[in-house]
Amino acid sequence: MGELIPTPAHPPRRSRGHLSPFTIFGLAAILAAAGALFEMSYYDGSPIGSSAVFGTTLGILLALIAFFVIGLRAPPNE
Amino acid sequence: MEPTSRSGSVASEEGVSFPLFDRPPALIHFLDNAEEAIRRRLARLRLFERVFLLERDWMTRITMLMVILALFWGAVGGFDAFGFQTQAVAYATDAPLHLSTMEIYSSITLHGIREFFGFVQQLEMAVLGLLVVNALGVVPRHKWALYAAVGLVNASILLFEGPVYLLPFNDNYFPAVGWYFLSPLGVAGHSSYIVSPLWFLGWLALAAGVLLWAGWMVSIIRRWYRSRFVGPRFLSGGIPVFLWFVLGTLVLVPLTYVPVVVAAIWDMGAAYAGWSLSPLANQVIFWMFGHSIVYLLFLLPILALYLLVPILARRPLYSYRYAVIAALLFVALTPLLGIHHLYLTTLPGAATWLTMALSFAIVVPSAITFFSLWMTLKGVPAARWEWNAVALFTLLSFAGAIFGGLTGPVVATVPWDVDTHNSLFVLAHFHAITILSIAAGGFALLYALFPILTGRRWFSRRLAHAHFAATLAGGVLLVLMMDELGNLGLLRRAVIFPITPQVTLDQLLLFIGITVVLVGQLFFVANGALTVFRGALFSSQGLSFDEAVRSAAQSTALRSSEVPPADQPFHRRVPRARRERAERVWAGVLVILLSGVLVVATPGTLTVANGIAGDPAFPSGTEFVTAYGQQYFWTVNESGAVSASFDNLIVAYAGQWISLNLTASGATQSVYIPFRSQPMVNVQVVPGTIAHALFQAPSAPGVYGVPDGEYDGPWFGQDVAALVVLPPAGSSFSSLAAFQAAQGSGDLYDPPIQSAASADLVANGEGLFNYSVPAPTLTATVPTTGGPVAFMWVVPLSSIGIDNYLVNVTSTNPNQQIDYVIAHNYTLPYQFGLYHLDPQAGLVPVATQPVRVNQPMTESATLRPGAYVYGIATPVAYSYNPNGESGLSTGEQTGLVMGLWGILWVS
Repeated sequence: MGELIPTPAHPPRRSRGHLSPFTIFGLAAILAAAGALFEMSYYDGSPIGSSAVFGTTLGILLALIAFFVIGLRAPPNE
Repeated sequence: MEPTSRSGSVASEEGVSFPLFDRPPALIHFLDNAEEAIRRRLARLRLFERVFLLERDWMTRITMLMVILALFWGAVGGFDAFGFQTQAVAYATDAPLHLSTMEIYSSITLHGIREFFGFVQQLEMAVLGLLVVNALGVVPRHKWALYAAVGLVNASILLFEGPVYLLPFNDNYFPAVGWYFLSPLGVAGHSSYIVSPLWFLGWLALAAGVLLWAGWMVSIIRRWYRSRFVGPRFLSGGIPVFLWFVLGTLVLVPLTYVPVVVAAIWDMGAAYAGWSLSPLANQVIFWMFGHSIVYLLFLLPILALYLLVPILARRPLYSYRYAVIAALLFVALTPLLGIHHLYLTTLPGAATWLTMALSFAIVVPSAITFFSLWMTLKGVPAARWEWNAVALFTLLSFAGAIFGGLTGPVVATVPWDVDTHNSLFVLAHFHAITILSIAAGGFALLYALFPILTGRRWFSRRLAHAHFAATLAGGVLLVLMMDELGNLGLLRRAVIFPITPQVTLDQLLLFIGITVVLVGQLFFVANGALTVFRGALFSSQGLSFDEAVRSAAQSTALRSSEVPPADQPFHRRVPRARRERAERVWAGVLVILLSGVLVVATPGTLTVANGIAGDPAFPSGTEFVTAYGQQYFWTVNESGAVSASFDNLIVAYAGQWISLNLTASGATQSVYIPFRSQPMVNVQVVPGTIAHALFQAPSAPGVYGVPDGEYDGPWFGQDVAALVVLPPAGSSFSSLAAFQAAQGSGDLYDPPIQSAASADLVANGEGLFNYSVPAPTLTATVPTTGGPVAFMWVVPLSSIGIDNYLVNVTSTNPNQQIDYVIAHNYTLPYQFGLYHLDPQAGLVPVATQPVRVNQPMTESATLRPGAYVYGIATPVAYSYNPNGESGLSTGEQTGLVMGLWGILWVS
């Protein structure tokens, strides 16, 4: 089948200050959510938007807050 | 790719036999021998041997073939989009157009077909088969069933392309119906635009291929399950999470593809056997497929995330139970959402409301998924996480699903959908999901599994990282520009559109985004090619599946973040009850919030739905308008303060309420008035139904653009009517100053305003004056008793061509239309007129003259203040039939088109 590429006996030294994947995925989620809210913001307060615009936007915003609050307070995956 | 168990030994055949395949029939023997003979010959060539893995087992070979074909169709589909957007930018910048109208709308159609089915569906089939075989240690069987499925899927893509004449070359019969087909568009006897029967056969072949693949998958999973379990153990943790999503995919396949078979057969019966047709019912059935297919394909990145995040994190999923709940909810809810593509039709309000509620409900499994995945990473130290291409694309797919998914509730909210339906906002939502989540998830899987498949490590880390960076940057730019254009009110599928500085800039940036994404994929293809020829050897022998994935991914790692791929022992410290409590709280909060949003949206939803389906109460003085859409223009009859008939005009007084009664034939149409300073008008008119709209004309007199929002064939771009708002009855005919101050109520499609005296009306290749439809609104000021008004116009000979409806196409000779004009003394058989817009008598001729080509013409008359229609004010009958090639077998293209007309406003 071919030669195995040997893995190093000692892993390379990691530089300090790296963010954990939980933090990075969380930041990515914040950026993504901000992008979506930016897209929606055009209609909020616009004469063409109805009360439903406000309701859906508020619902999404509250859901995002809940996502991060519950996630940060939840026990780790250990 | 020999299937391996976790110990690394080759799994033996076990368990259940299938009587039908115990003794392969003679045909199978013949096919096996033929395949072996071809394989042996091709394997002598290094190119074929390496690329198609011809020395490997059959499952590896066919999987590689599917991956290559998927990438091929993805590339071709990508260049379809590139070609479309190149044309859009060329149109906006007055550059020469390189594709005909039919070719450009075919590009959009085939872009969708090739990306959805050739690329993503086929990739999903390849990856799921590969996963099931490798991760579960299944020995695959029934090779020719899988080959047949792959053959049918790829053959369907060719069938979809329709007929092409090679000599002389003519691809204008490629289908231009949109990637989906909305009955009766394309159906012979019911539409002015008819596709060839190959289009419908393509759908049947595609469905047959995918259903056959699903059956093949079920057969091998069934064998694995019987060999592993004594009895059912659905929630004991014995079934891996990714397999739940594989099973969910397989349940969704028939629920998705059977409706499109029904819709296609019904359309074929209506076209070729005289069956009666209910377009709305057909569309409801079609959209059972049309929305399900998106979630069917969305399960690919969901599965990828559930599979890869625990592997990369070296920890089990945060909650197995909630992952299974998410899988079950996805499958249960997906088939029920089709009607949310038909919110603005005459379907009953209850059905619309229920679909909205279910569309909110499907947020729950997505929300559970992304919460679970994020929590799976909680506690993973940075030092134990390797950033490689698999991790990067996993991150992108995760974030992309949130970015695109959060705009899902926007378009799911019915009153909000009035503002966005058919605009590029919807495309922004859709491409965020498809590029930034579905494609990203697919690439995460490919980066993980390609070395396992090929036995070679990725050749270049830099190419992998460049691929990621380009996909991210180009994808985000593309989505944001679609959003910007949608916010302006620009329609989807528009290659003829209002040209403003903002639109031009956004179209250019959108083009850059598309280009960056495509260039990024070239990095991936190059890396793949270099890998199969020059990649270091890779073996998964002795490795667990998880170790094999991590080891394979490491060949694309950022060197500073490399972590040994070996499994680490994991000791659970946080009990399941505590973790699931967090999941439960999150799910509970979400259900409460969604319920609240539903309550807030309900009144507006019922108002919209009942308004479209029925007759609302009319304020005093309402103008009653009956409009009949004939695929590319409206026939309008009015009663009330205005009592007359028009083509492509709705006439009312400033501030007057307008009640529209709408019917259509030939294709679904739409009244789309993208006001920005008052509520929009957005109504879908499905043939066979009567739709309604009630709205108030703007208070500023002027000319407002009313495009048909629903794509209805190759002359979609010219299909724009005008709402002419007259000054209040009895008042003097004021100028357009108020209209200009109010910026035309923000309607992007308002024609530009020019002084008649200095206007320079020049017809372009699309049969429009100055790239505007309606043509520019000309203004003039005269005494109350009347005065001279004059303006100039010209139809250059160079504007006559394949995109111009003014001259029929009867030959593939590119000069045929010009030759016709020359042969007829540069005169077209239409009248260019000036007509007074009389609210009681309709259009009253003031002056008419033949349309002369290549000769500057002057239109002059003594006019009193008022509104006048100028140009070719009645539809032109057009047909495309080069050398008699058009017909039921190739397709037909006719239509009644208006384009060279506008309003003269004399104050």
